[in-house]
Amino acid sequence: MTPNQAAEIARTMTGSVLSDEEIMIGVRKVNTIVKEECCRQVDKLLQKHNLPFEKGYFLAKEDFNKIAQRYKMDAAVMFWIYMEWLGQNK
Amino acid sequence: MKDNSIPDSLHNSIKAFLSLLKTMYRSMPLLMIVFTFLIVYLATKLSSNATTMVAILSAVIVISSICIYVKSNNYGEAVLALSAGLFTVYTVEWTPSLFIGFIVVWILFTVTVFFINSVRIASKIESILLDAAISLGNREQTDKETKKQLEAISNSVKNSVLMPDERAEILRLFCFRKIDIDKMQTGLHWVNIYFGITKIPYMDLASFVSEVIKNTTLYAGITIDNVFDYIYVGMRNTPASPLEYIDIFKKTRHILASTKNTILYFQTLNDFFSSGQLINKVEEYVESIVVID
Repeated sequence: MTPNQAAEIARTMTGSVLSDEEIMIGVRKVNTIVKEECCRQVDKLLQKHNLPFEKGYFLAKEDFNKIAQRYKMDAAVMFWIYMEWLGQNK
Repeated sequence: MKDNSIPDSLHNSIKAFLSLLKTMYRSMPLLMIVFTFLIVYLATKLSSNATTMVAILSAVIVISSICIYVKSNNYGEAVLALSAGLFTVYTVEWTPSLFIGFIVVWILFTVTVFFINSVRIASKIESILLDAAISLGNREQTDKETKKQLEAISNSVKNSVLMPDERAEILRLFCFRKIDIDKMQTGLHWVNIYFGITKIPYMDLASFVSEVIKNTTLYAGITIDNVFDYIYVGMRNTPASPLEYIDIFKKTRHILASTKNTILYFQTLNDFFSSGQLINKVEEYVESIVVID
């Protein structure tokens, strides 16, 4: 998957309006310890809902937005770093 | 790399002294002129008439008075000691035997006081660390062994701006708060750093550091040093003094304790200061962001 495709998925999943480049810059700017903590927060929320995709999708979108807002980042950036984190940790 | 810290600080002190003289001359020119003439007159008089013994004794009296001033920060007490000392020096007819007797007694007194002080500090540290070891109540080793371990932790801090008894008090607080002994070295290291930078009372900083250690969940690749470093950068960049930062922390630390979202919590504190809101709104503000349902 190319970075542009990954950015497109992140935008679709979160409803973000950032460009590919802005998402990538946002991802690079996130501090490692911030990344670790916010990904665990998202993971906790997603696991709490534990619903099938068609039902869980909207809740997941809400969760990404909720956590991203608290950690002062865009939801697409949050989605991207969460996917990276998931690949490394699960 | 060449260490220039001492010559640099001497240079800075001389610069500060010269600037003080300039300021004083600008604000009180007549007094400064009279003062300078007086010093020059006394110096000439002392160097032409007085013996070497009187000059040495005068220097001893001046050094003692400066020590008194540094210790008590009381000008009256220091100047009284100086006057009494100089009066004695200039009224006594000094012979070599009298001079040697005075110097020997003076040195004996100074050395004895130094030893008494050292013993007092050592016994204070001993007692504090024993308290700490007992309160920690480690079942795997005796209190004596724990105390030795705490001593090693206290001595491990490099370039410490904290005195040995202050370090012991900090370790005792860590023991009272049941901080893991393996994390105490890092905790003490950060109290030392924060104290050097902020000059906040060291026990407040120790309390702050212990709260952070207790409420931070560490993940793979993240160390407690990373967390303290992150906090320090935030503290430095916020438009608030370190003391205000610690005060706000004290008011809201229960939120950190209940959520354990350390990074989000400190990020929110920084945002709070930047937003310029009223201090009494801090609890509400931090709670609304850090507590995630």
